[in-house]
Amino acid sequence: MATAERALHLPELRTAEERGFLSWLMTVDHKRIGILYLVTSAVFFAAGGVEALLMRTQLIRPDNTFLGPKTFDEILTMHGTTMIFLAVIPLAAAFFNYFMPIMIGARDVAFPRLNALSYWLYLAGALILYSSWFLGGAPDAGWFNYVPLSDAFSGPGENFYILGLLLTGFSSIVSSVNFVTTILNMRAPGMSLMRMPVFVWGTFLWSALLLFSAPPFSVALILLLLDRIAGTGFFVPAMGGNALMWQHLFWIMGHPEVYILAVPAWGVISEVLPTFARKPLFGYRGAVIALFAISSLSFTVWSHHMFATGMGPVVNDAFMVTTKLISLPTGALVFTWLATLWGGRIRYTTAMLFAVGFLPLFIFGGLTGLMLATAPADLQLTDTYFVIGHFHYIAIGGILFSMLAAAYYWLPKMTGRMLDERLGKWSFWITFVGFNLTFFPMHLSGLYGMPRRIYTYSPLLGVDVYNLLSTVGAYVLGVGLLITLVNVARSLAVGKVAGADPWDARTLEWTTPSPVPAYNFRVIPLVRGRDALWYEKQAPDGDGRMRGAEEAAGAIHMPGLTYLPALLALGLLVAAYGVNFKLVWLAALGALITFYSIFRQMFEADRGYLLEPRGESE
Amino acid sequence: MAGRGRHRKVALVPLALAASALLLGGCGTYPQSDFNAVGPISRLQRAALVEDMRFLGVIGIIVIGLVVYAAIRFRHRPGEEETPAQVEGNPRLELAWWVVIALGLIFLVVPPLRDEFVLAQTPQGPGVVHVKVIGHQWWWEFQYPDYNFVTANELHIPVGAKIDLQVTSADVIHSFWVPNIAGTLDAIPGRINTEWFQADRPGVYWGQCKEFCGLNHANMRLRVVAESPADFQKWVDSHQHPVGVAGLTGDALAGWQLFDGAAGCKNCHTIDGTDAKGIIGPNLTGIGSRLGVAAMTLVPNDAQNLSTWLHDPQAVKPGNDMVIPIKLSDQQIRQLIAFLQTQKTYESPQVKAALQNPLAQ
Repeated sequence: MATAERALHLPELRTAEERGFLSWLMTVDHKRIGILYLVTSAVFFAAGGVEALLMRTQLIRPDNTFLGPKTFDEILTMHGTTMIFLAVIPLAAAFFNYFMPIMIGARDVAFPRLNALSYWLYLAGALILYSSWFLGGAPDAGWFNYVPLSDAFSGPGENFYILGLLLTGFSSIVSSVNFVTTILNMRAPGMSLMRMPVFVWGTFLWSALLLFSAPPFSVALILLLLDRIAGTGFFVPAMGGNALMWQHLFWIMGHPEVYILAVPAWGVISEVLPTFARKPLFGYRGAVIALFAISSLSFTVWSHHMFATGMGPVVNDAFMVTTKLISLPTGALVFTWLATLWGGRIRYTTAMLFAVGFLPLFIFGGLTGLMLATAPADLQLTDTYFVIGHFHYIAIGGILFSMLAAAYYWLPKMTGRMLDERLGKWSFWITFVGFNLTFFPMHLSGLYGMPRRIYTYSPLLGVDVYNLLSTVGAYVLGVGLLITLVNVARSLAVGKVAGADPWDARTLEWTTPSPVPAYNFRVIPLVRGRDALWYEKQAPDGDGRMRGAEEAAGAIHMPGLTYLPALLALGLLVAAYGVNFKLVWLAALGALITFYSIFRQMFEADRGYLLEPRGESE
Repeated sequence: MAGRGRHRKVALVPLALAASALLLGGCGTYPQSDFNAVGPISRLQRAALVEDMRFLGVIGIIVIGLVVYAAIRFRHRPGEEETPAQVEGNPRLELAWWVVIALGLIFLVVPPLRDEFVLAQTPQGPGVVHVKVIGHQWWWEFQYPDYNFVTANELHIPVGAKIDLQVTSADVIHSFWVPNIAGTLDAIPGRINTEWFQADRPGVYWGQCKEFCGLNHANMRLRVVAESPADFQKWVDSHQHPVGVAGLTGDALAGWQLFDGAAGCKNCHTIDGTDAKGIIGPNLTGIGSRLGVAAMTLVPNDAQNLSTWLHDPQAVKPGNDMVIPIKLSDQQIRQLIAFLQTQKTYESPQVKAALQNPLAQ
């Protein structure tokens, strides 16, 4: 651990090895930010999971009185909002942050400070949203927050929703700019665009989608905030506003959002399947084209959430066609994965189990999505439990399963320690069974007439048994996920040491030590093919080790620690409370902190510091 | 471990199939089932649904079957240490699956395009019954402009007639849904949405608000009573000539006096043929013949359910607007119920059956 710090004109507070609590507040290292994202999103995932279990407990039998309607509606709203904005998007951001720069052979993202800022904005938004429980009640108009229910007809919790999601929205925009710039500019020599791992394409498209969909939603949130605190009436029919406009603005974000959640998942699957099938992805070029096609089309389908709003046959048919068109590239992706498995030597590690388990669940969820896309059928299915069943097959079967695959695949790289395979497999099977037991019966209760978002239902509806199964399944699912949590804790304490390349894998992150040192690569690698590491393992002139693109230099220049991004987010947090409680002085204080941070950053030269590599192999 | 996992996965497939067969074939009646279509609109919607289920079901079985096959067939077996053939792709095969999916899509996309235009037709002619549906937190108002009366939570229609609906809302967005007759149409404030439907069989059909509309969204339910044209006409007549309060005696008279006075009911409710003309709550003309209490939250509409409701409306439906200004005694509640039960409209055989058994069709 011979680390040294060389004298440039170094500002104060520079330690070569980041240590201690304060260093987490000040870090700009993409890997540590990735870990912050991972831990925070896991905490909120757990919160969202507990909320789900509370709802399922209320619905275990008809006419149940475990939760009253007010609590149920608050939990309903918080579950959806948490899972989408505070759990799954940041979970993807966690893996993107940690691995995307390494997978393209870079030492960090393009803008390390912006990267820190995006994390702190996310945390600030999440804290605002969750503080509502203690400051007058959580929002209760649903995660989709339709007006006028969310306007004059709901309590103070709505403001927390608006302000919280404004900050997480800014966070997403900031991340997106950063990731796109990084991918376009920071790739190692030889890493052409068409040699990038599909996971990096996932990062790129995730960023592009967020860049175009977060702003309209932010605008909608600001309009609604003005309606609520300044009486503007953008969405109030009596004042010349339009109640339906919110739905358009919301779903212009909300449908690309589905792909924002899914694209990272597909990226993970496209890395994990080839590694454990020990074959390259079948049809890389087609997969990239499919991802671009899906991402582009995702902006043309939002009104399929609104077939029942009376838009008329021409509009409904147009959105029906665009929606179904998405199944073309998506289907092509599925065949890409199938063909990747075909003829492989599949090693069923836990990561691979989750990745293969993803396939049937995702296919099933995709097919029920096509049923919902048929407008005349959707008029029956919309807003029933069928929809909940459908999108959880995508959200859990598709997305969470792939994120668990990512965790089992990459955590050893992040922590340096292996997860236990035995516990992992128990976790997979219990999760798999619990998941299907929870969500398959929902399709039936939906077809038999159970609407969504109801806190109680009549025993006469005849859907008791499906609800009972769903509730039991939800607890089984919870146990399955808990086992993974135990597994992670166990691994941190006593897990086997991972080494650089425990899976005999394909991409650049496996050429670095585990955990990855601050500078990622002692020598920036020279990329000679797609799946750069695998190429060196297979090439006749390769020896299984990466070649360097530069001479081994001495010390590596690193960006300095700074508290300014966290301070900026704190300023916006304070300002948000000022707006929420209509306290001008508090809002002004928040603005002051924010602008102080911005000006400090404008006029501060970060000279960074020099880090002596630890001397491990590259 | 891997080996055991595989066997369990194989075992899971028939298990899942058996379970789903059991569930699909399970007994029980489903009054809001999408499959029990009794009119042209619901039949058209069911056909679109069932066609999709069949077509996509076959595709699902094939593709998921291929995945399961590949997952098992190409597993690593002990002793196989050589690296498999490194196939990067096959342009012809890839093009083939793009083309095959595109061809399949034609079958999926084209047929339902017509349906939306059928749904959007405006029915014309002398037999058409016009109804204006207004959603309220958390009950339904039904106006019959052709016959000039208003009712709530229970829509009566003649069998075989086209019903022209105009749907809107008085407060937040609701959604009108009676699955046996027709799918969803949103009730949006500041906007009138239209649809038409028709019931071909007499019966009582269940519906409920489908768009999340606040605290008691779950309890915003309704019934559609489809009856013979003659019965429907009698029901309309009974609304146009309501029973009123003349000739009430005993408990019923005392109940009316409470309704009209101390209990404050008439401030919010209308009963045609009396001086109760409040417009905040549901119109109660014919309440004695309705099928349920509190927008069908409590069914059937009997003395016990009325008593539960009148004892504490906020306990039954938290957050609703019904506030009784005095604390009603048990006797007063009995009197009010006696009065409400005198307020009857014509009861067709369908209504009589459903009053006995809420699930009767």
